[in-house]
Amino acid sequence: MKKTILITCIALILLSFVSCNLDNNGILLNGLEKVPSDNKNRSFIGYDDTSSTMYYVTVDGLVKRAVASGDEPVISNDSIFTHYYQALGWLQDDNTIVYMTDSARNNGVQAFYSIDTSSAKVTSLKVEGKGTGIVDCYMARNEARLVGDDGTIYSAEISGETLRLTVKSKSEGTFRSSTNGLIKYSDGYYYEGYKTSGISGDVKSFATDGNTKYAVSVSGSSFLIYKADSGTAFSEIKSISGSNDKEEFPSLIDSAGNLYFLYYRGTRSSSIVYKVSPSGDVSDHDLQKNNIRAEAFVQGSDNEIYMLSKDNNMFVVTI
Amino acid sequence: MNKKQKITSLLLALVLIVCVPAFSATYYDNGSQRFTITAGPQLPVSVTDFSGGKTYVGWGLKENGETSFKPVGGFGSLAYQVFMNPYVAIGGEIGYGFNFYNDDTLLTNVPMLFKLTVVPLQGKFEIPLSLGVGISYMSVSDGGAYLPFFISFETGIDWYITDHWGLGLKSGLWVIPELYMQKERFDQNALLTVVPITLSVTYRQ
Repeated sequence: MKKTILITCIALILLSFVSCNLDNNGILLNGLEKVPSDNKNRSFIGYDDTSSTMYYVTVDGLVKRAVASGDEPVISNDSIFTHYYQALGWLQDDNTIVYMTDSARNNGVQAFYSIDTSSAKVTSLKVEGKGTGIVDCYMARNEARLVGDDGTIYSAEISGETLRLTVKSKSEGTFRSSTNGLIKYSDGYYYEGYKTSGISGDVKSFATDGNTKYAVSVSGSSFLIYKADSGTAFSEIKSISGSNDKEEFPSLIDSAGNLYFLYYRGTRSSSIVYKVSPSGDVSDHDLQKNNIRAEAFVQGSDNEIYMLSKDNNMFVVTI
Repeated sequence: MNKKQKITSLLLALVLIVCVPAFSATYYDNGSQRFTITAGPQLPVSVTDFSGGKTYVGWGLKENGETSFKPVGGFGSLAYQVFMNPYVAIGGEIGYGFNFYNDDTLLTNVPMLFKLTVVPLQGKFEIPLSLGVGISYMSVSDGGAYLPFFISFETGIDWYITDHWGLGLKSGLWVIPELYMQKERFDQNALLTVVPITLSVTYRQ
């Protein structure tokens, strides 16, 4: 009897360990990354055609920032911006933001809203054409693209109070991840429905100016930087050693074709901004400060590069 | 006090603790029982990042001056122990603790532990010394959970206002590791230490 109880107890403890510890993800270290609620992360929405105005969401609400001057008024503190589990948004056009809240704790219902950037009026949208869920969005040729949780790519159109989604592409492979439009399926990376070639490693950042495309992957302890001048055949132009980045990070191609991205080392060391020229020459700048994470890079209207950090305001990037 | 004096004081304290039973009257017998309820604040002391080789001491204080935790959380527990001999009791404890991260997300821990207590000084005043080993279900309010083994040390003082009922003040150290066996997750290995400071009510018989 004692033996049976002992074996049962051990089995129950082992079962508890396996079930509780399979999916966790460094909860103690994640705690070190948390920031006070009055200094909460910014979530980038987008910027207008001239790059003079950008939008992002903080704990205070929707912020409309004049990129160069630094004025950043909160234009809406509607509860959709402050009470959500996960959210994403994009600029449908210069006057309209579409914002999606993913209430994973509310029966998995994804709610969509349009926000007039002038009046800040929030309108709830009905959705047509959506699959089971939306997991990402990106801009392609100034049009918003949404990524479904099965890897389907949609375009989005607003008609009255309806958000109509239209399937643009779908791969036969199993969807793995989306990095600013570079979609990873089980059979490789795709962009806008076309399979790419030449990329290896785990892509953490992707940028395109419409023609040139850069992908930054992490392989082992190195960044691998790939470039495709047109089409989807990538070639490696540079390898930079010293990476252990696990999260995706934003990047930008400036008007001269240079790629900018920031390597965030978490609490371990400082963060470094990299500039990679079209020919693969790398220059960098060590920020000499911890906990700087890039949320977005923006090409300013005066040809300056700006970096919106997650919780340390804006930087002018000069390398 | 220099290092030598500190070591001497520590050794004297240890000798005192070990020798006290030899001179104190015993209250307990084999089979005596203690039932204890505790409640009080819980202070997160440090977070160690093994892969980064750093320990963030003082509520997870980081280089930028921010702390990971709000200073004070809370802890409460129920414990039951049976004496194996007049000085040593074994039993179990189940509790609930919480701390807030600096973004107001909640870290809760539900420990279930095997507890061994030595009571060298006993009678109207007691100084129990406890070692606990167990598991603690930890979860974060914005997602994530973990079930680690952990150890705890606890001491304090109990004042028995009647023959059976005592009030106590206790503190100690909880050492909670988050260790992964998979090589690709080694960089997530970490260690949390917290100090509960609790008031207790004990019934003994």
